[in-house]
Amino acid sequence: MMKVLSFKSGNNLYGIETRYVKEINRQPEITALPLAPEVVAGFLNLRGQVVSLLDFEKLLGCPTDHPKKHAIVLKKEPGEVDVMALLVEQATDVIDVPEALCEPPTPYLANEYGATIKMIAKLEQQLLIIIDKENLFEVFSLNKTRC
Amino acid sequence: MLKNEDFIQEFVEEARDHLENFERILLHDLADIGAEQINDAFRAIHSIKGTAGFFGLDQIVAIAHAMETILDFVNRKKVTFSDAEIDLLLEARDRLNVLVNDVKHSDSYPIEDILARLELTAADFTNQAGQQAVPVAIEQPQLSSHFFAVFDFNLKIQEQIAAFRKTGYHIYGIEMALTDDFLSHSGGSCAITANLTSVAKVLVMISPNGEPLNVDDLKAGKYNHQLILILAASILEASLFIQVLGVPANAVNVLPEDSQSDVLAPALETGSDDDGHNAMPMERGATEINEGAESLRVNVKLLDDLMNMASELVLARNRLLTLLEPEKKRIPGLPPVLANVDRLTSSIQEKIMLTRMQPVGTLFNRYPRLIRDLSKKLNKKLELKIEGGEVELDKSILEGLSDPLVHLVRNAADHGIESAAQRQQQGKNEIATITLKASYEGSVVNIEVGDDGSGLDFARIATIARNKKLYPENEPNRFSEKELIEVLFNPGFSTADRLSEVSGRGVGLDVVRTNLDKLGGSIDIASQPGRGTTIKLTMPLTVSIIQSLVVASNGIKMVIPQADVQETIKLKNTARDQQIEAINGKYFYRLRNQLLPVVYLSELWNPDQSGRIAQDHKIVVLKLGSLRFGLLVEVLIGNEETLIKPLPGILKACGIYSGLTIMGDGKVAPILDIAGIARKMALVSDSQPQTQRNHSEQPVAAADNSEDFVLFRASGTEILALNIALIKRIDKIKKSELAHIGERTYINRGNQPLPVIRPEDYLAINRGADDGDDYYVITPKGVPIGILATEIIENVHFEPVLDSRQCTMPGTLGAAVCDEKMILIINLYTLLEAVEADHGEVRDDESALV
Repeated sequence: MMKVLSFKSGNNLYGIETRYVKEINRQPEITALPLAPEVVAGFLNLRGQVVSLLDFEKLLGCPTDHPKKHAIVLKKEPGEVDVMALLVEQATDVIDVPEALCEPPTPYLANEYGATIKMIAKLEQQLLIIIDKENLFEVFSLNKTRC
Repeated sequence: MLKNEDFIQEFVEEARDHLENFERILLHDLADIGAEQINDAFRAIHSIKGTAGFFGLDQIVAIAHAMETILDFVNRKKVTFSDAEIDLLLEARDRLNVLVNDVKHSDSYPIEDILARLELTAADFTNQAGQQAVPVAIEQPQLSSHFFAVFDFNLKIQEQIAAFRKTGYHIYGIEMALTDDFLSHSGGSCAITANLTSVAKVLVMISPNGEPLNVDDLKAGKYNHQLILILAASILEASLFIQVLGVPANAVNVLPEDSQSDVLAPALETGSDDDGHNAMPMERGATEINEGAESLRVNVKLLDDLMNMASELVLARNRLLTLLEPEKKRIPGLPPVLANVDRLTSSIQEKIMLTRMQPVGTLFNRYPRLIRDLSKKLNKKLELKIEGGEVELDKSILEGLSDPLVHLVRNAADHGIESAAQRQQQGKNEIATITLKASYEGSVVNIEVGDDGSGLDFARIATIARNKKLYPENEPNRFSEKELIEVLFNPGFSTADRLSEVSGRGVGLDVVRTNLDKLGGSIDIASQPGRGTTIKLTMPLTVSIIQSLVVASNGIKMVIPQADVQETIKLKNTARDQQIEAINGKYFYRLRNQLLPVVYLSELWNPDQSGRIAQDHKIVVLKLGSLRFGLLVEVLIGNEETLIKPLPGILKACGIYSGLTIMGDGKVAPILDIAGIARKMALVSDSQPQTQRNHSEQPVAAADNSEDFVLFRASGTEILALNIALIKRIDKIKKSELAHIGERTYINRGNQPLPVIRPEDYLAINRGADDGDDYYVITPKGVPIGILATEIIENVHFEPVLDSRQCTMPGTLGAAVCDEKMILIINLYTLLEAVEADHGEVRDDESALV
């Protein structure tokens, strides 16, 4: 059983394992800064701490113009410098995903954003794309000590 | 036999203080070291010895003891001291320092060599002193000499001791370890107490950390499994006393009969104040409180936590004030409460920051030793001058400065100062001076490391830069001094062949700059050939909270550190000279008759501002070293205390932010990096560091060699050009302001006469009618001289393709074509050289640049 926070973004349902998630901010007050890299949606104040907010869809390389309302604040892993959050369309539920429903991404997806997908869970109504948080950051070499 | 980690740590800290004091005393001029100083030095070492002995740190005791012996000779036997002995004592101090810093393994260091030398010196002294006295301290049993330092020999105890002595009592110090073994062996705490009280009068009983203990509690077994220290009087002889108590022989120490003897003398003489240092930390703390002492040792971690909380408190306060602003009228009594919270928060934060402030002197005082050592090593006579030691800086900044300053002082001594012979030849004082100077300037502190050596050898630096290909493609005579100084910070320049090849400077300057960057500081170098070099470090006073100016442009709030702000100007659209004027897409403002380059804040991210002329903008005039420029913003919001949050990694590449902060409304706002903005807008010409790095990795074929030039005319028709990077300021003046004295012309610049020259006097160009009324004075950087122009044409940014065949005129770099006009680019160095030759001064260095 995998505990996963599901969220909608673009046309898909995504999931991120809850162990990476610190909290969900449903009314983020975002400060966008000029000259910041494109994937950076802005910065927000989380009880006195500055959080860098990344546009999830732009990270994946498939931006849509759906309004994005929620910020998923990620836990700071050892070795990471900044607190990061993902700006998504809508965070939905925490669901238990049985491993039996999961499949690794097929090579068919490889050249899209295959590396950022950990598993695809075949839920009853919809496919749930469980993202690989570490790879996601690795691919974009984000939050490294030297970046 | 380490007894308690915490106390050991306390000991280490105290010992460091003592060693520092000791060093400072010995670094005085030999003639200035009087009896009092020697006594102070003796006490410092004695304190270390006392506490170290208590912890059983035998090696430390041994060295300290030997040092004491020598000092004692000087102090009491009036043996004369020479430089050699001071060297030896300093060396011994260093060895002690090593042992103290690695206190847990202090017994594993070999110390025989230093001990032998110390003893040899002591033996010499014995001979000198006429052999009438064998060193007293050596005769005494070591343990007893330091054991008693733990006790507080206050007046009452001294009187008691004296009274007991009169009636034939011996005074013993007992170290009793109430282990299970000992307890069972001697029949429990009750029996031990009975034994003790039957044969001795207990004067003082304390725990190893100095807490007073009492006999009843001992009896009740409260101190079982502890170590207790007892000062007691007994009529029994030592051997019998030991037998009765059933403790090991080495646990009992005899207080020497002669209370004026070496062992107790320092402790007794100096009274309770100094006892604090000899004794254990708790006891000292108690003494301090009793005496209403002015200072207290506090854990730095605690201060750090307090500071962080105070910083958060300021943010919370800002938020609260913003939120409650609309309610002020509705809720009666709210405004005074808010004002009070506001004021108190600010002062709490300020006071907490103050607890972390330390005088720069504590740092500067480490360097006399370095200078002394360097002086011997390099065989140069060096003198260190310290100024402004009282200037205070945040502790963390001070600590961060330590290594960079060592670098700079070393550089100054090694490379900056000439050899004694050279100095003599040049008629300089044989003793070279290195200056460490600190001073406040607004909310920053300037720290200068200066020397009176030969100054930077720019020719040499240029050669090395060329050889190392730090500037491929560039002609050597195109280096400006500023560029050459920049070369010094190139890692490639500093690391290789440092001593053999570089007779200038540059050792590790890149490291110095990196370290300073981390602390939020910056570094500047100024050099005068033949007179020396001054390196100026500009450091922020404190770390995390700054006074700042909040501005907005395009609806985005941004924060400018108040320290960078010189003034703000509201533009009125009435007066003509109150407007922004455009030259070639660059904007300028006439600030008190000087041209101030201005940039739109929004221009940074939206470069196309063409045709835009500010109507209701505000200019924030910023200063960056010698550069001044204006930032045009739409709204000035006001001043606020801002807590600096580190810049997230993903923003570093932007180059215009130095950090983030959280505003009163709870939103994140960026703190602008003024230096970064100046670089980005090409207001300064130090894009070198980046291009250099590119070059060293892969030679870039099409390097951008474009530069900014000011085009102007002298009295003739030729268009002259001067690199903007070399210009400090341009002033417009009236003909009547020119004053002629003999052959020369001067203007009044800040009540100082500034000589001005006409380029046509030194260049082979046409001389015109010279009948206008308006002149411009172009002042180059670093040279007190003005160049007279009749007309400033414009600023251009272009890559000069020099055709030296067409123009080999001295004083110029050659002719070039820009916008279909022929321009003559001035070689400032050769021009100034010609001027100075004419004025009868000789400057030899720059000739090499031609």
